[in-house]
Amino acid sequence: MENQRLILDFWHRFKDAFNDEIPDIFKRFTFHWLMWILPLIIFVIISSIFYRGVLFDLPVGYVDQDKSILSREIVRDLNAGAHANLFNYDNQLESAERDLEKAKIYAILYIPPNFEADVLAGRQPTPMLYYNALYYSAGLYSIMDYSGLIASLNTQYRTTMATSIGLPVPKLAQVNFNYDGLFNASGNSMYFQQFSAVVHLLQLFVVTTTIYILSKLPKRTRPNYPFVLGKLAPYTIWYTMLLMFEIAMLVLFSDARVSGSPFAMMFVVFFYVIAAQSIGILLYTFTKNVLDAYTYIGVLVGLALTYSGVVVPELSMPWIARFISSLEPLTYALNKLFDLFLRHSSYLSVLKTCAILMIYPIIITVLVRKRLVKRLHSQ
Amino acid sequence: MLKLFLSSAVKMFFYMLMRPMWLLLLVSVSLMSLVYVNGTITNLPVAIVDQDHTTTSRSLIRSLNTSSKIDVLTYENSLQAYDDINSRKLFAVFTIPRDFEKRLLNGEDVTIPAYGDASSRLANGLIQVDIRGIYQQILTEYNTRVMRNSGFSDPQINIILSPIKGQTMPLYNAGISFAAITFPGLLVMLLQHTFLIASTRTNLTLHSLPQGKPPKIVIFGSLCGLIPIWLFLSLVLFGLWPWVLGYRQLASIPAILVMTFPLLLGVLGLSKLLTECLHRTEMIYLTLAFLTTPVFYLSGTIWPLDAMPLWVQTVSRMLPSTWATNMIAGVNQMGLGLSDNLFNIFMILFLGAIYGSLGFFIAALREGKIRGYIRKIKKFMHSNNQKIDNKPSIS
Repeated sequence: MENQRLILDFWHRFKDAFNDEIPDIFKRFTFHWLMWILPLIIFVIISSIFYRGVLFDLPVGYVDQDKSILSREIVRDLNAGAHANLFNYDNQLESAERDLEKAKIYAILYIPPNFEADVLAGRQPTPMLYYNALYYSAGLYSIMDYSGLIASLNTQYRTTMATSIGLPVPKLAQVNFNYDGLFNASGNSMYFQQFSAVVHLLQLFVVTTTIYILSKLPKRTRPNYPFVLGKLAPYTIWYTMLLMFEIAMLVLFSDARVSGSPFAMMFVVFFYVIAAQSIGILLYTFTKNVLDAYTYIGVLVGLALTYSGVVVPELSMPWIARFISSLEPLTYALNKLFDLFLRHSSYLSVLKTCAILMIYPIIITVLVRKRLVKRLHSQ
Repeated sequence: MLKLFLSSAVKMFFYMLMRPMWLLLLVSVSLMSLVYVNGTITNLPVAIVDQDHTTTSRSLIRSLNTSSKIDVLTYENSLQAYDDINSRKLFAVFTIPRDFEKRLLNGEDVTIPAYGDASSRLANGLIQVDIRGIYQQILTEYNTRVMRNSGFSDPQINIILSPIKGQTMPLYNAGISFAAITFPGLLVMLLQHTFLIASTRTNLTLHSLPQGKPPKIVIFGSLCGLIPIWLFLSLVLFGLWPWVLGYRQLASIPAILVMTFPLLLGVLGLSKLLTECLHRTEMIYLTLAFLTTPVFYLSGTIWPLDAMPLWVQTVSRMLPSTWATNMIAGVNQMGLGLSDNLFNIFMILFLGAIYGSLGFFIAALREGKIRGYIRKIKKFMHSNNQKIDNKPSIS
């Protein structure tokens, strides 16, 4: 009986605070700013940065010191490939090197003197393709067509070489190695980067908005936990819908494949937003003032993206990094959202993720239950 | 005047030393770096489904096992392997098809299908390159055996199999360290971001003191008091950190300071503009905190600027960090001299001057000074016109 009364009391306080907050959501510019203007501006910028998805026609310099038919063929064929756009540096290797250092070009093809003559004489010359591995994406894409080109030229010249030796070439192994990427939704190599950035940034917005709302709670009210939850609940719904909208836009613009259920996705996003809000409550409760709370957001949420497995796969992280990764709600939410998009994910696994995400608010509730009200009073 | 400037700079410097919130940057970078401790990917579990069970297939598995990047696990059942890659226990699955050896000996076409997890772009790319190299080596070994049996000598085989020895050579990040790919842009962005927050916050605090706004020289002195702290941070981030994480670091300490100083001046200009636009300390956090990730993506290190649309390139070029990243990565990792970066330095200072001037203009507009100047100009023009009108004319 006592418990029922407590639950009813909790519910009434929660409902009153919720109904009280709804008309106020968009009354101030700051709310507009945090809830749709800035999220959408950043979404547009990030989507535009990677809009090409795959890198084509990257500037590559070449120094051809042979100027033979074969060397010209290499230059022509590499230029005809999708990824490289070749620029002639004549014999100025130093100037090409300088441009490589300045990241004006991403690779240099160097064809040595007497190249064709050396090939025909069986001296196995080496045309070198130097690439910038610091600017990794551009460097790697710019050399993408090179190995295939050399392999086809070697096959072409094999018979000529054998004839000059005077023996017929036996039947060689014809093995093709076909490496492909699984779980690639759109053929866009940066799709996951965009996807994770959007999910990550939403967490940042949710944590910040939570702290902002808590710091602006009217002083005349007598704060208590159901009241705080009721005040935050409209924003849970709003940010869930916002992330779903952004994901939908991303899928639409990237022409990506979705194999899972959007409803299951919405559940995961909902619990992810709740976990992020609880982090906001935790930061607000255990800091002296609101500016300190904002300062710590950067540290806390900045780490989330690093450890989410997008840059370095979790399977390759040292144990301590894996441990930190397992503490972040972003890791679970991102993995499950990726799974729902591209892998076969059961409803049971969705429930499991939601349960894991619910651990955050539960633990944080236990941690802040006494201190939060004090903190709100001390504001 | 100089005394006032120096005293406020020293006061701010010691205030920052007493309240070292800026150390959070180092804490944050240290924690972020943990993920890069291994340098590059190591021992990623990769499944090989051997459907052939012959000497050749086992030799292929042994060769793949030599790569330090992967840890080969043999599977009997491809369904089980795909199930494990689906549940993130594996990173890639290779299948050696049935009759692999037989078809190889008959010179028939054989395809070895391999599928990697494309959701981790960097790791997938590196594994692909590594495995392709090993595969090429195995194929060469096999073809060498075939040709030797046909009466070719070893030097002849070598020439026939590869008349051209095409090579690719990674420069500036030879071991392909993940940290080296991410950190040049990330550290510049963090340095810019933290200094922008600190200087804007200082600006706003000084503008809203209860005893009134202090003289301009005090504000300027206080802002300059921040610079030594961030110069120290730059030494840690661009000098010490590459050494800790084991990637190339070529710039000397004076060179790092010479590169960072203009960046800090440029950011001071930007902070003046933001001070006038944001007007409340809270708004700094409600605005700037969200821009870190986009600014990092805009720096051009992980995705080239040429591949972005023109308007995004323009936004990117309006940020001091984009020019600073190009300069610091060029000098620190790629061996460029400072003299090669005069344009980058000029652009950072130019942007700082533009933003600073805009900030002063907005401040003057807000304080009504611009209106005063316009009124004065109008008055001056009016009195000049009157003088001309009052001159006696010949007619």
